[in-house]
Amino acid sequence: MVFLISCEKEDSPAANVETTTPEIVSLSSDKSNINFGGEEFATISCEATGGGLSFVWEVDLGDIFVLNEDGSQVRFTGSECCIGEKIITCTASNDNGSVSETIVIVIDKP
Amino acid sequence: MCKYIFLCIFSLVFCCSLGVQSQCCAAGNPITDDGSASGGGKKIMEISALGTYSYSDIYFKGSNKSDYEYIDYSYFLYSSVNISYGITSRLKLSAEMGYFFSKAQYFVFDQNRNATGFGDLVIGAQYLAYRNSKRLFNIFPRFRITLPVGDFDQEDGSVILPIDIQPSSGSYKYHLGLLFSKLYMDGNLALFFDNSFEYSQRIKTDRTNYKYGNLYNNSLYVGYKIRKALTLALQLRSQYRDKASNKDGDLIHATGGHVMFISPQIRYNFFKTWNVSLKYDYPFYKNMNGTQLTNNYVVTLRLSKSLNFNPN
Repeated sequence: MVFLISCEKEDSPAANVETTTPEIVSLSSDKSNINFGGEEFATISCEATGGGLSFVWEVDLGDIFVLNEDGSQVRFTGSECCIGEKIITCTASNDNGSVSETIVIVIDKP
Repeated sequence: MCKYIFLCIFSLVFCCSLGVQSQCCAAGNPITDDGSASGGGKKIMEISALGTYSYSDIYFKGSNKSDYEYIDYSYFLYSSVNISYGITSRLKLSAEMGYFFSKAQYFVFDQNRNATGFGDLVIGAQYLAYRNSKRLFNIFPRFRITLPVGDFDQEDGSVILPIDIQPSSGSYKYHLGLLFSKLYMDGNLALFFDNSFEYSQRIKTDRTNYKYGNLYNNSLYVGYKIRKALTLALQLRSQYRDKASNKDGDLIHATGGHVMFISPQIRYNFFKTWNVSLKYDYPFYKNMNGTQLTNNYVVTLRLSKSLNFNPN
């Protein structure tokens, strides 16, 4: 009697994703001006193509908080020390590279 | 004569606060100097380790408490190692490097963020420029430079953290100071008067173009040896910080201010060469520009050891 045992490699979902060079299709915000303080904030969305993407957000002054699992949507607000024009950068990356776009949100005094 | 110089300078720096502010976003190493001049001497090394915990949850607008709510509370836990060595009997060099075990902010809208990592490297020199052995009076010019070698690109989730919570200040800082010391009662009562100015160089990176306000620090330290090995001390410290400026060079309104601390301290000497001290910093006066989160208290525990490399 002969037993044949074999193992089949199960690819992770990420490995199945075919990736291409990332491209940001749109970077948009529901507001271009917000008042300082946590009561009002802008929701910013970064829509990108390329597959297997990860997102990184940055701003010099102000506070960004991620809203969804893949990090493509964030909430932006700031305190009084951050009044003025703020440039927020979204960078989308995968195995084939990365691409960045910026959007300007103005933090006002109420 | 020395007494009058001392009194004049003291009156000037504590009473004259015009045009000087402090700021909310003071990233980088906390002030670890206790305003005294411990150690010193040719071929004497002092190694010290300290742990600092700072907590903040009060907003101030001007000199009054504010109802403004944004950051619910903020704290950091910082530890550093400082090594100083007497090159000559007058010149002492020092280096300090620290690590933030936690630097956290909790917001009222159910969000929080935290950073950990190395702070900046601080290299310093202190020179005994004037000594009056009869009157037990000394003057020490001091210079320190902060090298922004620490972590300045820390991320929390998918977000690169803003500069006020990064472990490194990201900025070269140049610190000039003049320390006066006077001993009374055969050295049992020590008086130190420390005056310093810190200039922060503009941060210019792809992400950040920002200049912290300059810092003006003055402190009066009184230490009294109540027993041979036990010293009680009280420090009165005044900190002014100029407004920060943004990428266009415009001053940022809600940065800068004046804070005065009172800092009781207890120091115990053991095994001849070891010292342990505990310090509590309480900001009893605040006058902030705009509305800013301010500090409630800072607690610092320090352990130090002196090593004498002179032949017996």
